[in-house]
Amino acid sequence: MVGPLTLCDGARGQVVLVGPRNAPGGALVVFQDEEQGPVESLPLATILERLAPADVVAILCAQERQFGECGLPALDAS
Amino acid sequence: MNTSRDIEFLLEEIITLPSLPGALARIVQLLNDPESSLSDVGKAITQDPAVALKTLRLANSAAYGLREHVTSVEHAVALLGIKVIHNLVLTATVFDTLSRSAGLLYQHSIVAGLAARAVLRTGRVALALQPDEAFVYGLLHDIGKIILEDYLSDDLMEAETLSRDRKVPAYQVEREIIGADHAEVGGRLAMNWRLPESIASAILAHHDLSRCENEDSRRLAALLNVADAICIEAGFPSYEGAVAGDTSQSWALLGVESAKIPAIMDDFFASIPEVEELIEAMS
Repeated sequence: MVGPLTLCDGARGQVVLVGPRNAPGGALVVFQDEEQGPVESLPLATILERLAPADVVAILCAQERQFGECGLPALDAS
Repeated sequence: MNTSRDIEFLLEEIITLPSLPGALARIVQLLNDPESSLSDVGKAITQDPAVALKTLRLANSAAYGLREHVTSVEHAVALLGIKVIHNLVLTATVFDTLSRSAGLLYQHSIVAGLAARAVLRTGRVALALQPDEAFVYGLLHDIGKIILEDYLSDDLMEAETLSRDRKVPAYQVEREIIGADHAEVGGRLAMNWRLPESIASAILAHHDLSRCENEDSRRLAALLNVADAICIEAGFPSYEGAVAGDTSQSWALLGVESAKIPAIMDDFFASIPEVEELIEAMS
């Protein structure tokens, strides 16, 4: 789990990492309406235009840190 | 808190900006002289063996991707041209300056260079800048922090601590504690070194785009602003627990939409192994 996210259109979701970007699944954004209705999950690639560039950067860095091989250091927890 | 200070006060009373190291000063002079030749530039570089060696190592690194191994400065100048050589020497000189600082800032500066290069070339940003120039801009963006570390290290450390506690970017707290931020100091250092005005203004404005006088300068500053934020997000901050500022205005100015970010980040991630190579080449 990466954490909560607010889209450009105001919708709120949770980002979940289920695999690297080039694999099926990749990062998902999970939505559930306020009445606890059905959960909808959308791959990151399908909703890029609804996200701020900085949020996409953050999600891709988290994904690379979790699954990638380029050697990103762990984030400082402080 | 010190509200009586500003950048002019700091430069008059507290900080003495260092002069440009010898080899680069001579090269800047030659570049501004229409009578100078490639040979003159090559000779100026070879007169400083340390800079010449580092320039050759950089020219042969993957970052420049030359197909043939370069063994002399004259050969490098002929192959790469004066503008690229100027950037190489500037890079080598800045590495020397940065290596005096704490490890995090050194690494952050290199990664910012790689991030600026990735945003420029893969984001297809319309700027009159070559990718290797974008690398130099990124490398230089926090040069003001070196000066603050030298003259006001306790204040800088306090600003970084408050930045962590308040979860706000350090430059905001630097203005409060020191009276100016590292971008202002860096911009003044670049002017003092007679670096191109485009570099100086981009450094000056990379945390406050309104400091630029025109749209082109603002976009260069925006490039550094997003490169800085990418570094922090990727785990290469200039100090522990660094907080990135809002980059939405910068991305918009650069004309980079979210759909382009995955390709930019792929380029950036692929370049991360260059960090160790560059540090080794400069050691």
